[in-house]
Amino acid sequence: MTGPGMAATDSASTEAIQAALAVEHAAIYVIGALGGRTSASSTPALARALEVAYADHVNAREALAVRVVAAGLEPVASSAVYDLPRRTGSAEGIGAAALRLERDTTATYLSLVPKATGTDRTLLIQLLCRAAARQLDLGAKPTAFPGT
Amino acid sequence: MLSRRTAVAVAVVAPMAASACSASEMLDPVKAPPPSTPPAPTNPDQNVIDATVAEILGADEGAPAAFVHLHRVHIEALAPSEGVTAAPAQGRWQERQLALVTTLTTAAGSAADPQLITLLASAAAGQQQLLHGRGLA
Repeated sequence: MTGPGMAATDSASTEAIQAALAVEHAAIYVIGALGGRTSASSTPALARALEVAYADHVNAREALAVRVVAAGLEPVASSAVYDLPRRTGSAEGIGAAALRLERDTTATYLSLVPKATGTDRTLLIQLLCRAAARQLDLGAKPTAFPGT
Repeated sequence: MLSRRTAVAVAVVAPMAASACSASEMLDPVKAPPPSTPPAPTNPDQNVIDATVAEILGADEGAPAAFVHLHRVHIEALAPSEGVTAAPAQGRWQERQLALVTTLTTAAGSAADPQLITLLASAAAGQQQLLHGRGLA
């Protein structure tokens, strides 16, 4: 495809990447806040899962931002503040909130995948797979079709 | 000259014969009209589906039951053509399971139908989850 049709496809693909980037900005903020409320000594497994998730989301943000810059656009900026989940006064509450976040992230990625093309789509599927895997670290059971 | 009874009989039989002739013509398979329902259009993604299912089947050999069960669910959802056979199995079963994530990702990258893309991407994520749960990825 060439001409305006190709440009429209590219634009939709980059929009999907930008939407994923916005999700990662929010996830980094929320996971960081949840990690700050988690004791590494009394709940080491949860603390470790949140550490891994945080690093994963940062890596995803960088990979997505690079893709947007390569397309000649300005990466979407993060908000100054995001709503934090409620009922996070216990380790169970923190774990449940983190799992909800990862489930939402997985579902969002899955909704964005068909809108992207080429290597953008491949990147979104790779990040979708990572988000689905992180759910297991937070106590989820495997499913045949994560994100649906 | 026909008797009155014969004339009546001919008058009754003649339309029946004509009718029978018409029915005969309609039943002739050579002259049968085209069916009113057009054939189902060919799925342009069917080659992608069948090639992917062949790879999934090829990954079954020697794999734990959890993987085989997951593969059955994925194959059922993909709806391959009849008679798709397993691709030749290569390497250890663990390597084949890892390779399947790439296979599903690549298939999602080349499919045209958004629903199929979603299905393949989600199947890749399901495969990745099972690998992660077993410490393989």
